[in-house]
Amino acid sequence: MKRWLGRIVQTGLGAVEWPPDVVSDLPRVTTVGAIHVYLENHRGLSFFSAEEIRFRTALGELCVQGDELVIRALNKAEAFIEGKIRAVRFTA
Amino acid sequence: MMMRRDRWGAYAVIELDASGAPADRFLGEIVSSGIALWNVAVQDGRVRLTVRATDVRRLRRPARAFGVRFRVIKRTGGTFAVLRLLKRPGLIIGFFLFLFMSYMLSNVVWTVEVSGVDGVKAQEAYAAAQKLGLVRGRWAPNLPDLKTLEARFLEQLPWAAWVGVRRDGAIVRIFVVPYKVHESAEPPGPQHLVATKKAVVVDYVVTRGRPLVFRGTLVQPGQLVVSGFVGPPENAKAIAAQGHVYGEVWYDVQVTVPRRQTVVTTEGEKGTQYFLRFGQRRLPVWGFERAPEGARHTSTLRTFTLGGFRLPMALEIVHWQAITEETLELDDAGLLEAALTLAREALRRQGRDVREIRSEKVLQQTVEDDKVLMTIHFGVVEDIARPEPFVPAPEGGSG
Repeated sequence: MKRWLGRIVQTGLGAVEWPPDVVSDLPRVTTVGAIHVYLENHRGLSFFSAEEIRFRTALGELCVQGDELVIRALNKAEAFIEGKIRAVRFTA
Repeated sequence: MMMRRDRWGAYAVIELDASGAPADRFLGEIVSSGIALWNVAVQDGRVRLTVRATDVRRLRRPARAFGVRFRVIKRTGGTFAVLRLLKRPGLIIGFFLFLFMSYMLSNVVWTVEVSGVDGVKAQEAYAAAQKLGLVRGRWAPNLPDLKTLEARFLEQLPWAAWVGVRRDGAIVRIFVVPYKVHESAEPPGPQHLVATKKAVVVDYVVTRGRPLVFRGTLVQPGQLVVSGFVGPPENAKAIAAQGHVYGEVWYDVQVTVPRRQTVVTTEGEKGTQYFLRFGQRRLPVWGFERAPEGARHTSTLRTFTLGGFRLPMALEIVHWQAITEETLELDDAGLLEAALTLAREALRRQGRDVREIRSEKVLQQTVEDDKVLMTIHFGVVEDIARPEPFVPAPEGGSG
C-alpha cells in the first residue's frame, strides 16, 4: 500500500517537476566550500565527535567527516556544521 | 534561517559530564524533543554546547534518564548582564550617588553675577544680593521665587529702574537697569552769548535771546553777540540766550610737502587660508597658496562650543594681502595741489567746527628740489558764539 502510494507521488512529482526535497522527506545537503555543511530534513543526531558527525535521515545515515567539527546550530530538522570537511557520505 | 539567534535573548553554555555514545543519545533525544542547540563541540573530551537559558530546566529530566550530568558554565545575554551588574552594588550605588551629587551641586548657588551696572552700583547690587541670601552654597530651591527676588532688589536699590533675576543652574544672574540721569535736563541759568574770536558775522541762528549783531558786523573776542535780556529795557527779563553765530575767521596755515612720497598699496595678490587650530598646532584645511614675503596677515579665530563647553578646536581664518610700496615723484603742479590738500586737512584737523572754507589765498610758496613750502591764508566760517553766564541785576539792563 505504502509503496504504491510512493510510486504515485514519484510519478506525480516527475509530472509537475516539483523539487523532490519540498514534497518528500528527503534530506537536503548544501556545502559551502569545504567549511560549511548545511543539512535540512534530518531525523536526529546519532553520533558526534570532532572528526565525525552522523545524522539519521530518510535515506539512512549521513556521515560528515572532517577535523575540528562543530555543530554551530542544531534543531529538530536542520543542522549547520562548521569545520574542515573532508567527506559527506550516505551510508545505508 | 535557523542560524539567526535572537541577540537579546539569554543563553547558557553547558558542559556535559559525558562523551561518546551516552552523550550522542542524549543530544539526539533533546534535539528531537524540540530544543535548539548551538555551538556543539568537543572540548577536552567533553561536549560543550549552548542552549536557551529557558531550556536548561527542560534538560534535567532527559539528563537523568540517560545518566548524563551537566553543569552550566556561563550565562550570556542581556538579562544575565543586568543580573551580573546587580550583583555589584558598589557600581550601582556609585552611579546613583553620581546622579544625586550632580543634582545637588547644580541646585546650589555657586556664583552670583551682576551685569548692567559697574563700579559702585555693581558693589551695591552684590551687597544687596548677599543681604537677600544669594550667597555661595545656598540651596537654590529654598530661595524665594524670582519675581519676589526682583521686587526685593528694587527695594534695596533705589536707583534701579528694573532688576531681572535668572537662575541658570548654579549661577544666579542679576541684570540691573539704573535710572538714566539726564544731567542736561536742568535749564541753564541766565546767560549771554559772546564771540570767541575776531570775526565777521556771516549768519546767525538765535533760538533764545536778542541778537546784537548783523551780517557783516566785525566782532572782537569777548564781544556780546546775543543778549540774555529780552523784553522792553525798563522791564527786561534775564534768560539763557541760545543759538549759533557764524562768523568768518582767518587762519594762516604753513605746510611742507616732500617731492618723493612713499605710498603703501594693497593692490597686489591676496588670499584666504583656513586652518584647524588645536592649541598651538594648526592644520591647514583650505587655501594652500603661500603668501609672499612681507605680506600682511589678519587672522580671525572662530571657536566652537558644544552644549556650553568650548571645544579645544578652532577654525582660524587668515586673510593675507601682499604689500607693495610705491614711490611717487610729484611734479611742480602736483606738489602744489598736494600742499593745498594737506593744508585744508590740517585746517579741519585742529578740531574746529569748520562749516565752510570761504576763501583761500596762497601767501607764499617756495618750490625747492625735494619739497615745497607753502603758507596759505584761509577764510573759514565757524560758530564763534560761546555762552557766558551772568547774574541779573535787579533793575535789568541791556548789553
